[in-house]
Formats: sequence, structure tokens, C-alpha cells
Amino acid sequence: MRTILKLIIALLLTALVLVIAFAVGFGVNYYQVQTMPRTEIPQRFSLFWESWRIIQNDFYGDVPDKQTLTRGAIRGMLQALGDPYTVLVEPAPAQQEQSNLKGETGDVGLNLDVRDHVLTIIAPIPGSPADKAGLRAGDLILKINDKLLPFDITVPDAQNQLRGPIGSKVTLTVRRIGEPKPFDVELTREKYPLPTVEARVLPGTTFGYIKVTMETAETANEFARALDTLRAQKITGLVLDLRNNPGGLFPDPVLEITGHFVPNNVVLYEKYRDGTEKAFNARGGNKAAGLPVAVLINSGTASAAEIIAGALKDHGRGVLIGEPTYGKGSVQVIRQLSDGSALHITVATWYTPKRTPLDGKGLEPDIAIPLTEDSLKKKLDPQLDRAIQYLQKGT
Amino acid sequence: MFRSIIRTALLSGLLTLLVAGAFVGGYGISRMLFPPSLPADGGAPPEWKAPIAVFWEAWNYVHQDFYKIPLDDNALVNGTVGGMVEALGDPHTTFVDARRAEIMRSDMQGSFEGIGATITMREGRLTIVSIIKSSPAERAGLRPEDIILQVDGKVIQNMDVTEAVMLIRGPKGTRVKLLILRGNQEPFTVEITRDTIRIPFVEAKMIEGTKIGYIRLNEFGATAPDEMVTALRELKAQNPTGLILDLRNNPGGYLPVSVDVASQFLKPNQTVLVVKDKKGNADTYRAKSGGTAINIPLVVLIDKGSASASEIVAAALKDHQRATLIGVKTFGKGSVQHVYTLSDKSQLNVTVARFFSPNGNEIDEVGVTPHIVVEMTEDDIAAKRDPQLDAAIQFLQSNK
Repeated sequence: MRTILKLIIALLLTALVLVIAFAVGFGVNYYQVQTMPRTEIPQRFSLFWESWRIIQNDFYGDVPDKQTLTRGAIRGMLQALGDPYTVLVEPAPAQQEQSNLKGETGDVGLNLDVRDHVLTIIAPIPGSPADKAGLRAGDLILKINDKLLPFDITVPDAQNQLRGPIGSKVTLTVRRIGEPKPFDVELTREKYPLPTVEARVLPGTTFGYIKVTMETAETANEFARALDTLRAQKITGLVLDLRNNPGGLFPDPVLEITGHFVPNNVVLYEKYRDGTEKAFNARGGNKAAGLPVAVLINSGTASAAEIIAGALKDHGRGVLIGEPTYGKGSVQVIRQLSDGSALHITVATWYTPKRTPLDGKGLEPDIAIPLTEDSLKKKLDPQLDRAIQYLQKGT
Repeated sequence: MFRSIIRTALLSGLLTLLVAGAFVGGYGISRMLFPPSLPADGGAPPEWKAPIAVFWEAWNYVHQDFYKIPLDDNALVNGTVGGMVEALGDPHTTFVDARRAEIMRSDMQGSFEGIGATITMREGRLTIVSIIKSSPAERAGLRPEDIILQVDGKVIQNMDVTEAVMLIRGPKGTRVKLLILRGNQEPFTVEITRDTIRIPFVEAKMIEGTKIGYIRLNEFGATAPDEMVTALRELKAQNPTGLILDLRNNPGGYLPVSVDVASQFLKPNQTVLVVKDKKGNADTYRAKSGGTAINIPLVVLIDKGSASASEIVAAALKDHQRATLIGVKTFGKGSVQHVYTLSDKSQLNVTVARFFSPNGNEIDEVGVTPHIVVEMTEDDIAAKRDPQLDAAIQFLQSNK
């Protein structure tokens, strides 16, 4: 009798739990459906189906799959916006882009140069896959993945081929002086943070030099370490080289880096479509306190790099030397789409702390120094020279 | 003890399964009763419901995020259809929005209502290229190289040419005010009454000092066959010993017009072209009777700007050994587009078939090769020489 009662209670309880689970499931969908963004589709969208039906029936060639057509449709819609930065990035590049920004690309750890059109190893980075595989300075790379390198190979091209997803493999055909035949080396790519910061004390001076090549998730840490190292060497001034820095991740690296120069100050304003503004403030690292700063800029300085330059200029914390910057003063959000592609949409435009718009115009240098073909040929750097002069004389 | 543990484990496992099942069941039934409200998208075919979803994601994000508002949904839909069509990868399958389609249609009819000036956008400025004879533009004293600054008070710098054309054209009898910049003069206003403008597709003349007739066909427009017949009659009245048909830089036009034009030179029923659709169905187009120039010695001038309908005519006359082709190899566009007018008067040009010469020769990407190759160099153009025409005249005179 009691067992039966217990059984009934157990069954009732089970039933109750099941009903609750059912209700929760029911509710979850209901909530999802209710909170989905509602779209007002213009009546004219029927034009799309009208066109599609004609194409399906009559088009002479092969009709691509629907995914290709849909992506074409998205591209066409974005083009109609007339904004070059609002674009669709298809899955493969989007993943690559994500991992590039996060600093997650795998690499084999080679410093390379091209000498007489031959890709040459300057040195393997100690502890890197290339180092562990026994590659040496002076080894010549003839092929990557069994493909002969072109005559006009460049270091960035080669680096791009060497990089790839972490854990993937790349085979190099290497020629070593003294060995009778080229040999193959298979390397596994490892997480090898691509250094984005390069620092040294400028020879013959007491000035530090920091070059930032792009802004990734690792850049702020690298930058802080570089400043620590340079300050330990008692530098009395700093050249911050932002030339050919195309930007990258925003806002963290930018706020961290500017935090060493203009701690807690406004770095930029984002202006949205409804007229509202959002201020971004630098962090408080302040590791460059007291150092005079010369910032090198050129037409390759864009986006996040322009913010850094603009903030230092507007707060009187650095003098800009070189050429006008690129002028990419708009903000894109990256929206992941369900098919794995990503949408970059311009959502705002940028203003420096003194409300100079960065959109389309670029920053003017305080001291304009063009880089001529002639100086390029002679491997001179008059912009850097001028920066050193500025730090020495204060003008 | 051990058994009871197993029992408990089994029981709780079973219960978990049941709970999960109930959740999934509740979710599923709810989804059936309350499906995500897909946008009312004008009737997506069932097989498109899933693949198009990502488009609506993108559409939503753009409407939610994009910094410039308001958005022009009509322009976005036009872009969408255009982008889908572009994804087909065929340069000749294109979407043309309603306003542009209207201009194209009237241009191919050979007449429109406007002022009669050919214009182009040059360095962001709307510049007059040429003035059509006895048009309102000519009567108003407009000249080539004049720059149009404003139309009815509207500034048109950097405007899309089509937009500008739309502003200048308008119903016959209405007036339009243009602010004109000419050389270093102060800009001045010209008021012009619009009229019906006819752009002839055919220009014909006797070549000076010879007995050779010359016919230039600019485009295979709707009225081209009638113009051609008239021109041929006028030339024939002057007893020419040979004819030159100039198809250089003729981009083509309507396919039936190419048959009509070829019929002027071929015997009735001779094949003009064979059209094959993607299922392999072949359609043979034959010359109509009543050709006005089926015996006279004939040279056809062709160049790399001769495309489509021009290639049909050139290839047909070549295959039937009716004409000698002089110039350089033609463009090589051997596909047929059907022009669909969509519900909003926009236009969809769809490649529906390919055509072949009477002897079955491929034209697409191959082109038509001349019998006698004569190049036209940059120097010739600069010096206003026409060695191809000269070669045609010489050929006809020496083959009397």
C-alpha cells in the first residue's frame, strides 16, 4: 500500500517535472521569436523573386547555388549604400581576419630576407618550430609546400604563406651551403604571437624608438614591455613610429597605448547616426610620463593608428612628423552572420579630442617631411632624422 | 548497495532523458505554433526560405547599425537584385533599374523627348559632346564642350550621368533652363523647349569621286531596318558599282533587326544565324524576301568594337560569300539576351541562348575574322586617316 502511494507520488512528481520542462521549452522558443528583430520588408522585394524565377527558367549558363546568389545579393545591397567600408567578408577570410586580430595565427618563427631574389633565413626565432627543426641562419628557402617561389617573392608574401592555422603543417625545401642537395623540412605552425611592436634605443642618442606595425590583442602588452625595457635604459625621449600602421583592433590596444601618454584623458569621440557621441578615455598606464615624444606618420597610417596620433597631438603630448595620414575615420562593427560570413558595417565616425573629424581627411603633420623616391633608394629616413632633431632641440 | 546505485543511476538517467525530451518537445511544438515571423518578402519560393535567411540577417543589421540614415530601401532592393544577378558571373546578364531602363528603351527606339545634346560626365562636370542636327539644342546655340552647371536651378556637379539625363529630358513642349559655362565666359542661362529628338541609326552617302555607296549602321535599333531600306534606295538611285557597310564600333542591338539588315543583302531563305538554347534546341533564322542589295559587290568593315548583332550580319555575309570583310577581328559576343520588363518597369537582360553562323561557326569569344586584315593605329586616328575605309574603296574599285 505504502509502496503504491510512493510510486504514485513519484510518478506525479515526474509528470510535474516533465510538464515544467515542456513549458520551459515552449517558453524559450516563444521568447526567441518575440525578441527577434522585426524587419519591414518593402513590397518591392518581390522584384527579387520575379528576377530569380526568370533566371531559373531561362538563364543559359549554370545557375550558381543559392548561397552564392544570396551572398551576391548581400554584396549588391551593401554596394547600394555607397560606403567602401561596409562590406561582406566570406567565411574563410573572416576566420583568418578574426585570428589575425586576436594574434592567433600559427607561424613557424623565421626572420626572413630576400637576397638576390632568393628567400633567405636571417635567423630562426629561438624555441620556434623552425629553430627546433634545425633550420639555420643563411639557409635558402627554394619552395614552400612544393611550390617554387616566384622570382619577385617578397618577405610579406612569404610570411603569408608560412602562416596559417595553429597546428597545420608547412613543408619547406631548403638549400644549405655545403650540403650537396636541397632537402625538405616539415614544420608544424604554432601559436607564435606575431610581434607588432619593435623597440630599440636609437644608436648615438638617448632616445627610444618604438614601431607599432598594427594593433592586435597582444599589442598593448608588447608596447608596455617595450616602454619598460627602454626606460630601464634611461631614455630621454621617444620616437613613436606609426607609419604604415593600418590600424586593427579597437578600442583596447588604443586606449592602453594612449594611456601611457595621456592617462585618463579623452582619446576620441564616436559620433553615431542619431547625433549622440561616445567618448573614449585612455587608460592610466602612464609609463611614458615625462618623455618628449615625436610621432612618425604617413599616408599608410590609418584608423586606430590615426586615433593614437590625433590624441597625442590634441593633448599636446606629441608632435606629428611626416606626411598626412590616410583618413579612415569611421567605425565598423563586425556582425557574424549565421552562414559563417561576417558583415562590416560603418556605424559611426571619429573625431579627435578637439573634434577634428578623421573621416576621409586624415591628420596633417606638425612638421611635414616627405619621403622621396631618392631617399628611399638611398635607404635614408629623413622623417626619423627630423624626429631625432626635434627631440634634441625641442623644435 | 551496489545494485541500488546502479538503479539510482539508471533511474536518474531515464528521468534526465525524459526531461530533455519534454523540453525539446515543448520547444518544437512552440516553434510550430509560433514560427519565427519571416519577413513578408513577396513570396519566397519554398526552396529559398532557408538560404535567404542570411540575407535578412544582413538586411536587419544594416538597418539597425548603418551610420547614414534614412536608408533608401528602393535603392537597396535594386542593389540586391543587381548583386544576385551579378553573382551569375555572366557580364551580359544584367539588372537595370526602372529609370535607367526607361532611357535605354527610348534610346533603342531611336527617338526620345529632350533637347538633342549628347552629354558625358568629364571630371565631375556634365559636358556636351555633340549636338544633334536641327535639334532644340542646336537652335538654342549650344555647342560641344559647353559645360552644363545647373538644370532648372539644380546643381549637377558630380551627379550620375543618368540622373542628369533624366533631369534634362522631359515631355515635348515643356521648357528646361540650363546654366551653361563656356570657356572663360560668365555662366549664362539658356531656356530650351523640348522636342522629339530622332537619332538616326543609319548614315548613308556616296563616297566622293567614286561610284561607291557607303552605309554606316550605328546600332541595331528598332527603326534601323526602315532607315536601311530608305538609305539603300537613295544610294541605288545613283547607280553605285559597289557598297560599303560600316559596322565598326557597332555594339549590336535587337536580334530580329540583324535578320532584317542581313536580308537586305542575302537571297531569300538563306540562313542568317542559328540560335541554340541551353537544352540544345536550335532555331534557324532565315533571310526575308525583298532584299534591296542582293547582288551589288559588298565590303563590310569590322573592328573589335563590332559586337553581337554586328557579328551576326558579318558572319552571315561571310559564310554565304556575299561580302568581303575588311578590318580587324570582331569582339566575339555570341550570346542572345532576352529583355524582360519587370513589374516595376525595371529591366532584366538575361542570356538565354548562343548563336552560331550559318556554317555553324562559334562566335562567342571567337569573333569574326576579316578576309583582309587592315589595322587602324592610334596615329591614324590622330591624323584622321581611315586606312580601313581606303582599303575597302580600293578593293571595290579594283574588283570591278
